[in-house]
Amino acid sequence: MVVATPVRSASPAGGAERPVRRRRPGGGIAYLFLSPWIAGALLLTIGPMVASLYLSFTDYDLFSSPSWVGLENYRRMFTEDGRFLTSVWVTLKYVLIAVPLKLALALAVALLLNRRGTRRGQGLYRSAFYAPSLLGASVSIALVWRTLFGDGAAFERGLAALGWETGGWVGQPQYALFTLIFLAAWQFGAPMVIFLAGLKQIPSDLYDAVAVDGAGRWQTFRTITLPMLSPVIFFNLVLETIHAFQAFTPAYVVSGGRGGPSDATLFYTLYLYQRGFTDFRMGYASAMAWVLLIAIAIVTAVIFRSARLWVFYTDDKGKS
Amino acid sequence: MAVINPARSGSRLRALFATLAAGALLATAACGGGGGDSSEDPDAKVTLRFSWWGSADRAKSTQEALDLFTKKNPNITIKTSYSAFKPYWEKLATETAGGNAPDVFQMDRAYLREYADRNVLAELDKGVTDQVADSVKESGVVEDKLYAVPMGQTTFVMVYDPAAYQKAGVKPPAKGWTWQDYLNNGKKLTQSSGGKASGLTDLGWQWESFETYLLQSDTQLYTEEGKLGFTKDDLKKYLTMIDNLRKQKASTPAKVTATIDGSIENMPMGKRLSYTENSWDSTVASYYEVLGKPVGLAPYPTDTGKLGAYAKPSMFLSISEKTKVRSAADKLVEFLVNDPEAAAILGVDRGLPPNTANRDKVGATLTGAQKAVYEYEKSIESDLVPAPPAPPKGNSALKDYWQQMNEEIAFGKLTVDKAVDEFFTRAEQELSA
Repeated sequence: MVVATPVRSASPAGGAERPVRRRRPGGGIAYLFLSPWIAGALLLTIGPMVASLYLSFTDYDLFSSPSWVGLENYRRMFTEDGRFLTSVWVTLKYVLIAVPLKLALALAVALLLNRRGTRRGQGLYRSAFYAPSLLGASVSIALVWRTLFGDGAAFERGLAALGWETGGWVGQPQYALFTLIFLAAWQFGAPMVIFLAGLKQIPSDLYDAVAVDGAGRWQTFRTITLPMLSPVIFFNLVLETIHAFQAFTPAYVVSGGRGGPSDATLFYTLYLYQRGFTDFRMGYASAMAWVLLIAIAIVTAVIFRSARLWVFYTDDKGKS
Repeated sequence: MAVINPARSGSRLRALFATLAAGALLATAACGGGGGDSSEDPDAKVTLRFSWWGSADRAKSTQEALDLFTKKNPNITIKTSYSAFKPYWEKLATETAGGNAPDVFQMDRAYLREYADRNVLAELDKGVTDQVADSVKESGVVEDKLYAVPMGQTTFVMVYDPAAYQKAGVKPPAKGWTWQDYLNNGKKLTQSSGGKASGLTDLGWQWESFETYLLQSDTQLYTEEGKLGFTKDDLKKYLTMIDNLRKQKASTPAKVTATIDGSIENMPMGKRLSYTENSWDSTVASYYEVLGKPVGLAPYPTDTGKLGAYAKPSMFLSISEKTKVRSAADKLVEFLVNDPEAAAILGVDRGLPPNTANRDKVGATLTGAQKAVYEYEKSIESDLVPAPPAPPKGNSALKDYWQQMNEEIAFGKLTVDKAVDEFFTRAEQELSA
């Protein structure tokens, strides 16, 4: 009920002159709103993490109660398990090739979509390029790729028509990983959108200035666009690297859960899953998960350290 | 004008949490309740969960049998779930670890010890197997306790495409053919296809086929103590033979073998890239379906006169140790194994009916693929050796490793000699714990 005339409040604390106590921003109310997330993080992330740290020192087999084996799982991983080392190598290859490729593609397409002058259908193109990413890590897409790159399928027939006989990529160790790398690169939509936002932020007077100085296209890109965009590149690089280390679904689907042919697509996460859920060695799998966590943390830290050398902020003092 | 700098604020947190998420893999196993309550009211309304693996054609007959069961027992509701073999085991392992395994579920010989030794299967009353055929009667027994009841009887078979054999002018395989015949047939079939397909599916992918080969010379896959029952020489001899079949282009090339995932439509023969394939006779109906025509059946080739085939329980039924509806679960198992009406509905989709009284009755009414399987089983009945004891814990890891090792040899990344050594090292690790 809205009352138009001011009514004296009948609050017991009552003085009309008394100033209302101002809440400090970020007080209890904020935590109240945060509580669902905090509860989720504690129950679904932190709790299981602590449990898995404990399990990584045991021989837990999913069913019986775990018994303590100390560092045995970690020792075995690095000294006796050939497939573990294979999976590390496969994952590193994937990260080192797929991430730069994906970012380069995303940047190239973002630049195209950011061309000046009004163009019809820009919105349509943006959506079209973003579409594959919406399909994300979905199983159906991986299935489609498995079929596309299979022996005697569309992709191979296309190559054969160009005179390159490969005999299907999915079934051959030297090519199989590339199907997954292409799949990742093809889903460049998310970094592309972020790049696009970054490009829109670059002040146009900078471009006008270099144009007056007679800079060509390449020079403009190198001296204005890249440095101004470097924080965004950095952001995308960190996120995509972390994602790539954790890639699982495409490898699982394309190889039918086996990481084949001959372990060519045995991603770290996939091997971890196999150890846990098909070999019933959950203690070992937990140890692998922690090794992965530490590895990602180190790689991320290295990227953060390197940022000083190449990331440029306009509000930095003493640069520019 | 400052460029938005996401890297400064949110992303550090995000990166941190994304990293944290990498470590968070395990949900702590929720402790389920205790065993079934013994004071159950048999007429109370209960819901029972039943999981099994298989293909869509099996789903139809299974559902029909379950409908009959719920008609006879109106107080019981059954919730089913089924999936392909591999995902089935991943899901079951997760559910069991989380303390909410289905009440009744299909069990396989390869996994029986993995589960029974870890005390997650309920002990069953031996009365349920009274009428089960002797060949598989004891197969679900671990240390004198019954943990699983055979749901069907199957055995190894070579499935072949009669038309391709006719076209190549090769005599179709039959009891008594040798490993040399196997090689010769393969070569001729491959040639006659003009390189489009192979005569044989590479036998090396399957761990159990090696067992058949060993049994032909009375060697076991595992000893009583759960160690390897064969020597390095046995393994070397076999892998060399398998490799020779590939080198002579009798069997499928590596890139075809590598895409095997266990489902019939993705087997080389299912993709029409091979004319002879090893399988279990419980899958024959699926071959008819996938290929759209009948296939021929023959036992494995042998040099010793022994087929190496044994009556394998195609699958078992087990009850979860933690079930809350024990009496309903017992009823369902009894029904699926022994009820004549259920047997008539299920046919031989899961191999021959386990109950001997039902077997001949069902056999008389069969047609098509089911009839072919029934006749094949009858033709080799006298050659079957008793099934070896269920494989020890660690077998499932070795089974996976075997398939991967075969691929590496096929792609030329591993020599046979090295493979033999590596396999024995791996077996030592997997079977010790």
